[in-house]
Amino acid sequence: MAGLVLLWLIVLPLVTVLSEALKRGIDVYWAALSDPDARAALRLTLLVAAITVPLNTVFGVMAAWTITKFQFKGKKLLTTLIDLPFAISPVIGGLIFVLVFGRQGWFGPWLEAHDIKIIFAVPGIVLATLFVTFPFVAKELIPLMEEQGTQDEEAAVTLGASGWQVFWKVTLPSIRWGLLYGIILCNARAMGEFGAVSVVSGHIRGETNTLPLHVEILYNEYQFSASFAVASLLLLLALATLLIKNLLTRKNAH
Amino acid sequence: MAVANKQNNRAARRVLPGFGIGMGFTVFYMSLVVLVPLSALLLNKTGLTWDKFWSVATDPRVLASYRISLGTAAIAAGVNTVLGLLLAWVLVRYDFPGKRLWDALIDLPFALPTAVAGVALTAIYSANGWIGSLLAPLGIKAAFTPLGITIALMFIGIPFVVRTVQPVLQDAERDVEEAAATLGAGRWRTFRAVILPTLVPSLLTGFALAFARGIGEYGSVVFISGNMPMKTEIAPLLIMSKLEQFDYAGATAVRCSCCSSPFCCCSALTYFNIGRVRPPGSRRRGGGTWLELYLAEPLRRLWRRPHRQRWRSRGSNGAWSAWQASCCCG
Amino acid sequence: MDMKKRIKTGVLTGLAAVMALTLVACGSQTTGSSASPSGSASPADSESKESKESVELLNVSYDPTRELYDQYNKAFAAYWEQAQGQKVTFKQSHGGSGKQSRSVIDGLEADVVTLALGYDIDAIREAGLIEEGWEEEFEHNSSPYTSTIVFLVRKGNPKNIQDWPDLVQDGVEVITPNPKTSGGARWNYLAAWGYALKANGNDEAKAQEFVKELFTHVPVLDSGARGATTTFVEREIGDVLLAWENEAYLSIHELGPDKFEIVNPSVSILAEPPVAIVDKVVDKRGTREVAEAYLNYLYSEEGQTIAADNYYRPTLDSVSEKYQEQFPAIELFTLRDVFGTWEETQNKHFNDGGIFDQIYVPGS
Repeated sequence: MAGLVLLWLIVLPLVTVLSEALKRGIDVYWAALSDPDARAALRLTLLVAAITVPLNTVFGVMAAWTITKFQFKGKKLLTTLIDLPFAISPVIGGLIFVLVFGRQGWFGPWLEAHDIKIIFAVPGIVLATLFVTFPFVAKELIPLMEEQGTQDEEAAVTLGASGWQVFWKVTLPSIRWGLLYGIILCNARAMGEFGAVSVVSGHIRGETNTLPLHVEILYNEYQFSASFAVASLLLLLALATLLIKNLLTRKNAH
Repeated sequence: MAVANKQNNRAARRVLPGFGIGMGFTVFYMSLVVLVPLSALLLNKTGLTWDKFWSVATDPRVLASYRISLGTAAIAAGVNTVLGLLLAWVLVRYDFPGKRLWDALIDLPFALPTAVAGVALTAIYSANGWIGSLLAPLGIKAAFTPLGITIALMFIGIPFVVRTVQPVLQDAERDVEEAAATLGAGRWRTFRAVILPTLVPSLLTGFALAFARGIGEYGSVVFISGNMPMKTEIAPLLIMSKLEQFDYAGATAVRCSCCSSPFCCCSALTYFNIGRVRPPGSRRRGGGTWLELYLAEPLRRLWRRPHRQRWRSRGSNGAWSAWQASCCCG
Repeated sequence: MDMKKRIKTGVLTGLAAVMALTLVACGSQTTGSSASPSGSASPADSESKESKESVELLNVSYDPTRELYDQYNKAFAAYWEQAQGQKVTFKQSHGGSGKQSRSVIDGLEADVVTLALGYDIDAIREAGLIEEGWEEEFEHNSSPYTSTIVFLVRKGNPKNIQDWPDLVQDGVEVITPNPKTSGGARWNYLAAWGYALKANGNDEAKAQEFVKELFTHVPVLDSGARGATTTFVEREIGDVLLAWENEAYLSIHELGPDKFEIVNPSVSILAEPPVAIVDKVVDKRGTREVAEAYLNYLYSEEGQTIAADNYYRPTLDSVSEKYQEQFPAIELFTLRDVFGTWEETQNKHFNDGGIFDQIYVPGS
């Protein structure tokens, strides 16, 4: 019974993506994936994730450290501000960068004069993705570190450990699960983000199309098999993320 | 005494390094990525007045979209509560080959881009799809009807329930059940009288999370809903189409009014979770409202246990994730 | 006290870092910009040498032209290399016409725009990127190919739809996108309006009545033309799809001639999707010459043939004769004859509070 539920709810969509992708044979599948535009989209998606995830991870750890290990005024405000991107629709998240960097935006004339492209180019996509994935790591870590308090770290410091040592040896081991989960959520969102990226991308084929945008384009071109082929690529990326998470969990459980 | 304590505390805090750089980086990065761009939005006046807000928020088409969003999300969350309990039960209580794999698959809806889920579900439930073609002879249309929306929301919401119920079930003391059994309680009675009460709070949490997420879901629903005003147009879709018409004011109005309900439900969660921390000793203080007993207390207990930190962080954060998910249309 | 100080230092450090980064950005950009003029100056200096260097054009277009420009870009690249010895590569961007126009205004560096309607190009002109008089820059109001609005019905035409009045019969469901968001939908709306004017002796009130009635038969209002086609074709909703002729042919071609057929109404609108050079961009990038040639070549025999192959009505007589059978004669009226300029049309019908807002009350 439970197996049926799982099969129906989760496995069926998974299988559908693969089977629709392979419906017209492996050749069509392969052609769709080796299409230069699809490859460019894959490269771009990976590049964007490779830039945004580490940046937001570093930020998340720093912010969580500051907020949970120290007392200061305005702490609540800071915590709320970190949540801000969550409360804002991704489309708006893309739009604000158009307002700032667009031709009619704040920096528009200046950027134009210096011939720098931010929106409708890779930097814009990175910025929009940074914005929407901004709180993930921090939000995972803050409650966790709050709970753990500061005694362990303080003890380590009194015993003569340096700041880095405290972080690596004391804090990190106890937050690694939360951190990992945060990174995974952040990564999944970074690779799958559609709304915000769609606004700033400009949809230039082979240049500013990410994988999710490419799926939509192919779908709109009636190339359903190709569309599912690219979707299956995203699916595999998602499965790989889960696998990594699982492997790490298992390794650390022993 | 208090002063001394405070000073002591302060001295201790100062022991830890990294405040300057942490604060500096946080503020710097946040201004760069979030605050500066957002201020552009604030300064770019949307021209939203009260009258406009009211007329948009009570427009019949908008009202219908709330009804659809809330209705389908509630049904999906309800079904998910039952199915999620079932899945969690099997995953915790039984051993079978590939258990780890199945367990990992539960997280798939978290990791899968919602657009991919959307096209896949549409392919399954449209009249010529695998399940759609089975339903068609029975006169049931799944895709492009509220039923389809509900199914998509079930896919999106199921991990929330499983992941909140699972740890509680894992920790439920089995000897109590065994005692109940030896005392002659049937299996059903044991379940109902012994197990279920301990699960109710986490089931409620799971329901709330799945519900909140469902209200805001956009990506997977947009493909399967059919986008028919008054019939299958969900609120996030309406927001999106207002944005496409550059009607930012209208979009904001719909968003504000439709966000408020998941916001209430999630702030209730977070309120009971962290808003009312009492010293551990005072936990049992006799009477207390139903909510206190069934929602707040167990939640707090659940999220306190250190060895459950993984779930705990998931859970407490889930309220926020759900709220964010419901607020945005991504 | 101490704590406050530390917060202040923290915040200050942060702000200082923001400023520092901005400065660094400025610095690196000034070096970048000092280098770029020499780069952009070269095409003007040494034209003969420059023609050997390859050039890249960005064509920002609307949804249904993907297939057309895929083919045309290859043809033009071959032609240009042979004629001028210069390699030209293309970047394409497709999306809803209005959204694309918006993107160009916001800084998407298009050398040429090929959109669904003049209004969207006018918007770019108003933003100062295109010079006045773009309509006269190329022949036929700068519309190298035209199209019209036809009906796509399910095979066998089960509801027996032959002309506009059949659309408002009981039980007929019409699929069209939202005129407020979709360029194609505006042509649909105007075609219906034009028909009703003609049928009722130019009685505006009657025309409004007809279009209002028509929209009560619309169950789904997608935001774009492709979305509406998907609704009709894939989701099997509705009895008739109002569509661009090229889009109707394409869906038959791509999705099975055994499923749909095209019905030509007695009268329809001549849809003129215009093209234009984005003056500010081509001047900046030094691509005016090739961009002009690119759009001009659309009027050549080869360009027109490609357009006709993609089901756009050619404007060149020799080509349209060849494709006579594909494009049956429908009585066509132009926007200018019936409605005037795009600006007037937009203000009267589609802007907030315009006629469309008055007649379309969803769910009623």
